[in-house]
Amino acid sequence: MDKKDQVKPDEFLNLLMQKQMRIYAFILSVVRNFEDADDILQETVHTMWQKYEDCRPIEDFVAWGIQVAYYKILEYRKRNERTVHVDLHSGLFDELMAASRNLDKEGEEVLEKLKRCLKELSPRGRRFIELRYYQDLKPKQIAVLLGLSVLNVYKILSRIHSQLVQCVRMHS
Amino acid sequence: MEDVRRQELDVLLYQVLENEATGEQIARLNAFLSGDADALRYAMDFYLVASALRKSTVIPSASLGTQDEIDEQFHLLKIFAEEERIAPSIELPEEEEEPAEEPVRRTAASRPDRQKAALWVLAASMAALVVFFASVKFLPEREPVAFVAEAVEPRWQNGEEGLKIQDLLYNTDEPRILRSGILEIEFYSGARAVLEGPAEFVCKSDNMLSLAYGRVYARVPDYASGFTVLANGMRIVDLGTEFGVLANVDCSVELHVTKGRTSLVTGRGEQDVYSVQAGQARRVRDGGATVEEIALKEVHFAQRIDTKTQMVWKGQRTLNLADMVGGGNGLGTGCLECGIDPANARGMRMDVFYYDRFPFVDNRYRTVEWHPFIDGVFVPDSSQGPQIVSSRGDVFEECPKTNRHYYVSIVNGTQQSFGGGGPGLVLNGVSYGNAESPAIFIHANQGITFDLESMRQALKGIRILGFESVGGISATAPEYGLSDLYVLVDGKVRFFQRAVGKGQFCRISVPLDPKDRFLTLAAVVHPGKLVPAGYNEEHGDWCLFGAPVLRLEP
Repeated sequence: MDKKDQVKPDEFLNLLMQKQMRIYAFILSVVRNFEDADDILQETVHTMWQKYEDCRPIEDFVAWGIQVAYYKILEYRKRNERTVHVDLHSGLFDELMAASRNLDKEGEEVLEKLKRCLKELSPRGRRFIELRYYQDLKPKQIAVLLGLSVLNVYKILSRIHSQLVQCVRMHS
Repeated sequence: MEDVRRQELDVLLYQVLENEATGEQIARLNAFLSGDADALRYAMDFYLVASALRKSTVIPSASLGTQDEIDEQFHLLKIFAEEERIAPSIELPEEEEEPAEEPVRRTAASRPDRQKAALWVLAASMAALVVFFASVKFLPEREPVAFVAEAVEPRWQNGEEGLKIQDLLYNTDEPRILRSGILEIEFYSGARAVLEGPAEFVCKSDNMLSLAYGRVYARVPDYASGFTVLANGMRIVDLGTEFGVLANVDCSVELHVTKGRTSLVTGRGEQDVYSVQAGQARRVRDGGATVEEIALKEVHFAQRIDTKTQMVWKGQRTLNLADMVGGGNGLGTGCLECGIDPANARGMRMDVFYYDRFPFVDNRYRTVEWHPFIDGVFVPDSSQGPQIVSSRGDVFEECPKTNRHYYVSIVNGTQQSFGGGGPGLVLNGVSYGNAESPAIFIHANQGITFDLESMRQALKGIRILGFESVGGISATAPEYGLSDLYVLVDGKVRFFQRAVGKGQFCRISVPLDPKDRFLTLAAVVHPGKLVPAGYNEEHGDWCLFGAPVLRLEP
């Protein structure tokens, strides 16, 4: 293999770091829970890296990633049928696929809006987001930490997510 | 979409997101999204936001992995890739040789199958890196997260100039090494952390401190609840408290909780979370495998420091006023047998020179400029007009007339040989004026005023609850002593003991209010006192305030 054809890991990683959130959003919209989405993203990225050399140049990294993710979701469904929450043969899945086409463009805008929205959260709301996503604590752990019931933590986090979604929409 | 429907959708989306939904809830969510385009659009936005929170740099203050750590991973990967490319020649196993070719030594990079193998290794490392990224998720944006609020003699690693008051601390800063001294950091969340050197630390976010080793005391207001100290792999999460953390170089960690409660997290499981409350302490060893109860060390951590006065408060329950008279800050930094001369407000050290002095001065109030907590001194006498007892001009209305003579000065204790061989000052059988039993030696016709507000400022809000002491005339004094003792607050008499004789004593307890500004102690010759011919009126009035303390809130 010529030097110019060698796979450039940092090129792939740079793209991945920039775009993985959009691919993850697609996976999440299908499987709807973090646990499965994390597993599928990991498998997706692994395959993307294996195929990257053969597929270069890639015109739309996100679209390609979503395509790979789609097959990974199918494989995952075979192994863990009960965990994937959307019927992959339903019209809903087609709608999700259609909606995901805009993910790359929307993703960038959402990030900017979300930054502003996070700053608009109450200090308490921001703490919860930090505990959940920054410290990566599960709701049950947050409940133990803060001396709250698990149900209460779910309600609080659900409300905060709702605030963020509405805030992002408002800034659109 | 109606609010009620959206609220239900919010709960369903989040329950499912955390994989905590029942089959019924999942079916309900599917039904929601199938028949409602608005709901589907809302769900897509929800997942986009959740993805951004989980897989992007969007949390501004987040900094689990610094940019340098990420760069280091890239660097390692590049080195790895480069090593693969220029790997040295290896002897290939015979069975892998192609029959048509003569046996050769080849480089790993020159054969397609080797390249493929190398690529697989590289892919494996990439996969590991991907897992790394999946777990790190957040790259920090450089942001100020805290600033230096107070400092007491900080010295930095390698003699660097280090941080100064008001300097900003950023979430992407390199760890700093404080060799000695004390630093108070105020986080943007409102939490405060007092660090004692030697310590290595970094402020990871506006509500998180990482401590490699050293000692820190955190004060966290309710609104900053959740403040976290990371120490040797442990996490201490505040729940509206004050607590101290000691991170040892042997990787053990001690947690001492003085107020409120904290959560100590030693691992990733729910069983690895310990609730530690006020009055409790824990030691964690073996990377979190051993958590043991230990005794709370109440006066172990610097809790409040003050740059102006260099005050370091470690949770002591009292401030010693005798120590202040000796030039100290009330916590043992003053010198014994040192004091203040009311004739000029200057510092003095007791020696034989003072034994034969019986000065006579006017009743002017003289401010003590060189001591932050002592407002001024005076020789009480109302015959020349109102007796001022504070720099604010408070008047001691009940001040009697005196001859304006005094003896020695106002002193932190006295020499034990004082009085012809000692033993110094004695009240109720207790020897006063030494390190164990401090006293203000204040021979009659002298007064001193303390500035309570300055102390409150230096103590950063710790309440002063009251003044307590034992007053009297030392049993070792010559004959004929007879004095009146006064305790004033803002010029008003709060305690008065008339006609105290040699060896007599009284207990003094004066509650103080946060509004009270000046505390005055005075001893005057009892009006009408009779002494034999040839003696001065103030003869024998060896007054003292034994164990004079300001009681602080616990």
